[in-house]
Amino acid sequence: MNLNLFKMSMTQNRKSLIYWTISVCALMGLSMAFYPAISDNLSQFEGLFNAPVMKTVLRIFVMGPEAMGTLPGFYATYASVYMILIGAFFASYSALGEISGELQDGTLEFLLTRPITRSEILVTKWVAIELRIVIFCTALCLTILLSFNILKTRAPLIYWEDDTNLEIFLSVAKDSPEGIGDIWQLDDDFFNEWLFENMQEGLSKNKEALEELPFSEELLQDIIVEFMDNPDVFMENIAKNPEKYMDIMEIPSPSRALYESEILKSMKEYEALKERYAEEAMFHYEMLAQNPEYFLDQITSIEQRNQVSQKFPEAEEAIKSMLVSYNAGAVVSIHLHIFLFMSLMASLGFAVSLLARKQREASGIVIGIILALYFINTLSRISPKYLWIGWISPFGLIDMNLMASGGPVITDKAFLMIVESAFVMGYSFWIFSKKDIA
Amino acid sequence: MNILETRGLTKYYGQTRGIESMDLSIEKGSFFGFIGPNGAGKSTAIRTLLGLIRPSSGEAYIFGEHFQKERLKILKRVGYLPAEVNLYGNLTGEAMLRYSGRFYGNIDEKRMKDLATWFDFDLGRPVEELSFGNRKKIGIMLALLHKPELVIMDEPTGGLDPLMQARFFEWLTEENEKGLTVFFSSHTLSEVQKHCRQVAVIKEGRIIEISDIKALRSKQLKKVRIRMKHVHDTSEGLIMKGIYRFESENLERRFDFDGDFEELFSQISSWPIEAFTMEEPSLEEIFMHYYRDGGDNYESKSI
Repeated sequence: MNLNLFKMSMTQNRKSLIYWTISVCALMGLSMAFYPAISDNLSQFEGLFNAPVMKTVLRIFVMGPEAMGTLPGFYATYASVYMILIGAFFASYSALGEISGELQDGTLEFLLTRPITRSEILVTKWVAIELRIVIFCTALCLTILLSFNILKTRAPLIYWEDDTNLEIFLSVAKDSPEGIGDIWQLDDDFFNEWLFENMQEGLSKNKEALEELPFSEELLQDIIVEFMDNPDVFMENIAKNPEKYMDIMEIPSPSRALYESEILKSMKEYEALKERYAEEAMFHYEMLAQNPEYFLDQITSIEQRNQVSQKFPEAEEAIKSMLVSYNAGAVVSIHLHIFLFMSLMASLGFAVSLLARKQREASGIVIGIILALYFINTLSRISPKYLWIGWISPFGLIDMNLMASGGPVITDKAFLMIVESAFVMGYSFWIFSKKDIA
Repeated sequence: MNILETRGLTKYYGQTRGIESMDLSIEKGSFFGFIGPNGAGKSTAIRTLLGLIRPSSGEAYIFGEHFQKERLKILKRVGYLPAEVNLYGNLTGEAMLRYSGRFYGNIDEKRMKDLATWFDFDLGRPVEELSFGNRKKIGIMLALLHKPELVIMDEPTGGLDPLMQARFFEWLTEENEKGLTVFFSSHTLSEVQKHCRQVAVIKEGRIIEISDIKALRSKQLKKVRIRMKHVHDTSEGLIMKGIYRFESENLERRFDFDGDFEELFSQISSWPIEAFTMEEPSLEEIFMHYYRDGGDNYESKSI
C-alpha cells in the first residue's frame, strides 16, 4: 500500500466517482419517486396482495408484480435491476482504468520504473477501487433509505420475522387471547386458509415422508385443493363414498380399512378443532402461536397496526418493530451484498485488463462478460428448477430476498463472492507479476 | 567496479528476437553510449534492465545487485528516461515532478527549480498541453530530480532542439564529473562520438562491438563524392588501402573511405576535380562496413 499512489488514484478518479455516484443515486431516487404511482395502480389487486398465499410467495421470491406493492419489493423488482447492472459497469470500468488505462496511456511505464513493487501497485490500486466502491454503495444505500423513509407512510406494512419481538407479542397475546378475535375476522374462511397454510408447510417440511406415500405429490395437492374448495362438502363426500378416494389414491385393498379409520379419525379431529375454534379464545392463541406469519401478514396498514397495539398495549413496541414498511437492517444488508458483488466485478476488470492487449479490447471483453453473466442470471429465474444457474453468475449472488429478512446477514452467497474475488485477484497478481510492459 | 553488468541477457517475444545473449559491462562513472539502428534491440535491452520486461534467459547486476531480486533498491538509485514520455495529462509539470519525487522520499526543491530554469521549462502548464520536445524535457527532469547514481536514457535527444541538446549534455557532463554514470541509447553516431567515452554497438539484438570512442573514431568512415570537370580515364579506378565500394558513373566517382587522407589527396591530385564532398555515412552504412571487414563474425552467422 503506497500512500502517494493511492492519493493519485483517488484524485485522478474523483470526477468519475462523483459523476457515477450522483447519476446512479439520482436515477434510483427518480425510480423510487414512481413508487406511489405504481403502488396506487397495483392497489386494485389489493385482494391479491393480501391473500396469504401471495404473501408466502412474496417472501420466497421478492419479485413479480404482486411484490411491487411493498417498498422493498418495489426496489428489488423494479429499481434495483438497472442499478446492479450500472454498479457492475462502474466497478469493472474503475478497475479497467487503473490498469488498462495506464497501460494504454503509457503511464504504467512511469509507475513501474519508480521504486515500488508490482504487487504494491496492484494492492494500492485495489484499495483505491474498493474505497470508491464503498463510497458509491454508501451513497446508494443512503439514497434508498432516504426515499424509503419519505415513502413509508404510503407503503403497506410487512411482517418482519423477529424472534425477540414475536416472543413478547405472543406472551402478551397469551394473557388476553380474546383480543385476537377482535382484530382478526375469525370466520370459517380464515380457519380453512390457516389450515391450508399449515398443511402446505407441513408438506414442504416432510418431503421424505411424502415420497413414502403410495400416491404422488400432485395427487395429494389436488385433494388438498378439493378440500379447500369446501371442506365440509369434501368431508361429507369422503364419509359417503370412501371407496372413490381410495381408488384415486390407488390404495391397495388390504390397507383400505386402516386408511378409512385414519381418515375418519382425521375428520373427527378436524371437527373437534373447528368446534374449539368457534368457542375457545385460547385456541385462537394456539393458532397464532402455530403460524404467526399468517396472522401478522394480514396487518398491512398503520390503522390496523394501531388496532393491534390498542388490544395488546404491553406489546406495542414489539408490534411496531415487527410490522413496518421496510427494515433498515435489510436495506444495509442488501447494499453490503451489492458492495461485495461490485468488488467481484472489479477484480474481474483487473484480470481482463491484464490479459487483454489494448484497453478498447478489454472494454469489449468486459461488456461481453457482464452482459453474459446478466443473461445467465435471467435464465436462472425462468424456473425454480434452474435456480442453481444463479450460482454461476455473480448477479445471482445478490440475494434480493434479504429484503425480507431481519437484519444484516452475511449469506453463503456473500461468502462465495468474497472467495471468488480473492481467487480472481490472486490470478491478477500472478499475471501482473510476470507481464511484460512493452 | 562495474555499475552495470549483463550476462547472456536474452529476450524473445515468442519467435521474435528482442536481444540475444547480451554481455555488457559499464564501469562506475562512465559516459556510455549505446548505439544501433531502429529495431536493433536498444529499447528492449534498457526495458529489460529496468524490469519492465522479463528476460527469456540471462541476468544482470546493477550496483552489484541482482536486477530482479533487488529491483526496488536499484530503482531508488536509477533515473530512467523512456523513448516516449507518457505522463498524467491533467497534471501540471510541477505536480508530475512532485508525484514522482514522493516515491523517492523528500523532494529537493532547489534542484527542481534549477532543472526547470536550466531547461527553460514552464512548470505550471498541464502536461497534456506540452509539445513533444517539452515532454522530453520533463522526462529528463523526472529522470534526474531524485539525484540518481545511474541514469538510463532511451534516445534522450529525440525531439530536443540543438540548444537544448547542448544544455542537456552540459548538465550530464557536469554531473558525470561528480560521479553520475550515464548510459544512453542513440541512433545518431555523431552524438555518441561527441559525448561518450565508451560505446556499445548493437545490431539485430546482438552487441557487435564495445569500444572506446577513440578506437571508433580511428575507424571513422566517410562517404566521398567527387565530381569531374570532364571525362577522365585514369580516375575510373582507384586502388589504395581504405577505399570501399568504389563506383564510377560518367563524371561522378563515389566511394567509402577510412584510410589516410594525405595518401588519398596525393593519388587524386592530378584529377580535374570540380567538386569534392565528404559526408558522414549513415549508421547503417558504418555497420555494413564493419561487418564486411570481417572484424566481427556476425555476418557469417546471419547468412
